[in-house]
Amino acid sequence: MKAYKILLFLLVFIPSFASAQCKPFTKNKVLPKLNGYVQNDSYNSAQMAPGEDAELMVTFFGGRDYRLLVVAHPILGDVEFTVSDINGKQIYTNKDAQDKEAFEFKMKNTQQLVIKIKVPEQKDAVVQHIGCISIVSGFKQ
Amino acid sequence: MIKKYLSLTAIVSVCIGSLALVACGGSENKAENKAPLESGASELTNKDEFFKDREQALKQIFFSIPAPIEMADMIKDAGFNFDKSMLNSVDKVAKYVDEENRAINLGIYAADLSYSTVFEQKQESVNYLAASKTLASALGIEAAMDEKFMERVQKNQNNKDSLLSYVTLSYQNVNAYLKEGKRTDVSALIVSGAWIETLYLSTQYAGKKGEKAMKQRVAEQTYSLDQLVSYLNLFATSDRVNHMKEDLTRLQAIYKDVIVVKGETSVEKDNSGVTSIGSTETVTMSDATLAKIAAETVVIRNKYIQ
Repeated sequence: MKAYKILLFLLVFIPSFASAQCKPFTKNKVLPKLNGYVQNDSYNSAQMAPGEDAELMVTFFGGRDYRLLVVAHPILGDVEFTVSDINGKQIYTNKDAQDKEAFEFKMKNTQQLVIKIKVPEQKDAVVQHIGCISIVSGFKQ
Repeated sequence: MIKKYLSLTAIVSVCIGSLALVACGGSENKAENKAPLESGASELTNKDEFFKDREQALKQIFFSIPAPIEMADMIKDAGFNFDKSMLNSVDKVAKYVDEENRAINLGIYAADLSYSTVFEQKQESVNYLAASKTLASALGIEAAMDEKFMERVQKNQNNKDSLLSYVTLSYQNVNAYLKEGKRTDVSALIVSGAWIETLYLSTQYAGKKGEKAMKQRVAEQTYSLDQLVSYLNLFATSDRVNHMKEDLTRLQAIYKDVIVVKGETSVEKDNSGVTSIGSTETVTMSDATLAKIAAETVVIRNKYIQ
């Protein structure tokens, strides 16, 4: 009976557990793109589904240079990300940017910026997939 | 007996099939999307489970206040010297026996580790990394800083850039293991501990006569403090998080005396195409407010490090 319980546990949890891991994705696909900058946040990575959105507020200090990365697994398609000030004034969008994943900027004064990400819908997809998205920022020493 | 064996075999088959589905999904999609599923993507098999309390889950994951390494870097930028006497001794590591204290002091050690590393204090860095590893293991996340990781740190301790990247990676790993293990409240305590220690170190320098740069940085922590308290509100059912929230709320009351004058954001590009973001917003505080913030920070820190 014990064996049944263990196997049922594995059946229910292993697929979702396996899918919850974005550490290797962040380590291998995202952090190398921070090259030359020192990472200054903790861990902002999660698997997201088509049509989902999320936001992150970050304080950037005046007099410093930053690189902000929003890297998504290619299975999610063209993930849109924008940066706005606290009042909603848009500062950056990756829509027409050459590099869709990185935004480099200098901060003249300290302020909070809001990073919004939006995963495109996949209405025609027969099978829906979820994929990792990592938001990472770093400062120049 | 045979019946039992057959049922067991059936369950094993379904299990293997289920795992294979995840793995096979990868190779199928590789062809279609040129994106291997095994690395960071999978089929959405259980929608109910995935979308359950989704908004709350995403809010708990996507949270950021500057990591301790940045404030340590700003202390160095301001021209100050390393002062070992300000740090929480690694000898206390065995005293932290419950999860709440372990998590908060792991954050405190992470801040001391960042500070030591930025000031290129190799031996101190190794000591604080070892103390952090002890607490990480006690919290059940030893994989965040395993033996291989520690060996690599030892080997590269003379390379400042490598050491810096190991320090930031260790902080990220600890939070990653906790967030992915659905122990986000523990991660919140670590981040809080790191923030308190960073503020403590900053106020010690900011309090020096005539010092302006660090005083300004301490005032600007009003943003991070508000964010941190809002974040802790997401864990309202956790007593240990509520203890920290009560402490930070007292500090927040003092921070109300920091004067923030709202302004307009400006965006321009320089000749090399790099975006410059400015603002007319100002953040200022009096020496008396700084003194109150410094005193309250000491009270909170002392409560947890003893």
